[in-house]
Amino acid sequence: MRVFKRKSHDVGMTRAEALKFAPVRSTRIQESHLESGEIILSYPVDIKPWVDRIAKRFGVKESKPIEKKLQLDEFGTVVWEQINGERSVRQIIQWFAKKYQLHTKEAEVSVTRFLRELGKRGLIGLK
Amino acid sequence: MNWQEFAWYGIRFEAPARWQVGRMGPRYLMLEDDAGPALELKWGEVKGRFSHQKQLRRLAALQEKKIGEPVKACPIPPQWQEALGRYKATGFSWQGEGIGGTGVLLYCPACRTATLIQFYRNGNRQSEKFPQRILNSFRDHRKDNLVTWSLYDIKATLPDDFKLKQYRFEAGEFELAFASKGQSLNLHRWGPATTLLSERDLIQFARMLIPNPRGAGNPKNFGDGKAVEWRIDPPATPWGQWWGRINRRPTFQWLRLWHLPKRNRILGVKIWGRSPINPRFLDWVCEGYESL
Repeated sequence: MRVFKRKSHDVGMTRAEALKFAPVRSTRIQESHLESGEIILSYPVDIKPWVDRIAKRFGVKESKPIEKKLQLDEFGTVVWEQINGERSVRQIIQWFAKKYQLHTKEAEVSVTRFLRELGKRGLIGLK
Repeated sequence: MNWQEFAWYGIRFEAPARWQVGRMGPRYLMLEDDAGPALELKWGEVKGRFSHQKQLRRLAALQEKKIGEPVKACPIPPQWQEALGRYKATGFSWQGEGIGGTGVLLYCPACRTATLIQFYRNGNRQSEKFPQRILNSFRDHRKDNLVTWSLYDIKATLPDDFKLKQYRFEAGEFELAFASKGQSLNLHRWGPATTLLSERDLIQFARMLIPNPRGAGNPKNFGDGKAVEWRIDPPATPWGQWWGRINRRPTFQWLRLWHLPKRNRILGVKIWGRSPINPRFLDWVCEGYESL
């Protein structure tokens, strides 16, 4: 038996495949628009069970879900508005690059970083 | 199909514009397309005698360690040979699971640069015409002591004594920092300009580059749009000149930023050092620096 097995270089998904996914907004988000046109996203954050248990021990009867807010800048706002569950990540990148006359790679980095951040906060999913 | 020039650390070549820089480093470039890596180049100056066989053995060992597949020497395809006539070249290939590579190891006796160029086979992507055109356009030196730098959407030409010390390609901001004997030079590129200049003008934007600039900045026209320029020299008084001599910090600075409305970009060149800056040199650098 080989103890130190060589690591596989198969990453499972190519870049092309990853860009085909379409981001979908979470239904638990509330949007509010600022005068500047920028968007604030409000979303509930579920309290972790162990935090809830500790809270109960200290006499807190019912812990309310915490609401967090995320203010999007101009770029975040325009990308957020493109997320409709139909447009793929690639389409959003191409649209973004065209709108701001950015290099495709530059647009790809910006958009995917933003989508990753939204994904971490549970604000979008991919289908 | 659109093709783009790539120029980095002394080498330059043309490749399909849809191939994007996947990885980069000092004397290293990997271009990729949607299917994965497409082209890889490594190069370096050879100080002693160059042996193709020795380098190929070293490459084989490295490749085997990296992906577990052996590299074998192979004849160079005839259509490649035509493109590589000016080099001493050795062909090689390897095949792994679902991915393979064919490449050449080149040595240019004129500039003593050895270059490894590797084309990846991945699915049915590889067109036979790509390698030939890429190799045809490949150059590892210029005869005029200048070096072209061209990646993403910027292109600049500088004297070869300006060595690249740092680089940064971030979304919205590119920066290349060069240094030669006694002078430093930075190339900047920002975008999209419409957003960056929506709440401030070019002068206010430029102030972010020089923290405490003396004077208001000199507005001027350059290219198709507006420009602003700062020139900072040590005071002409004997005390100022003495202070300039003993001060370790650069005493001469020149900064020019210009807006390219059609490209929606802002370009900037900053030169500084302890000796006076030739205004013609700044003009020459700015004229050769463009957004593609």
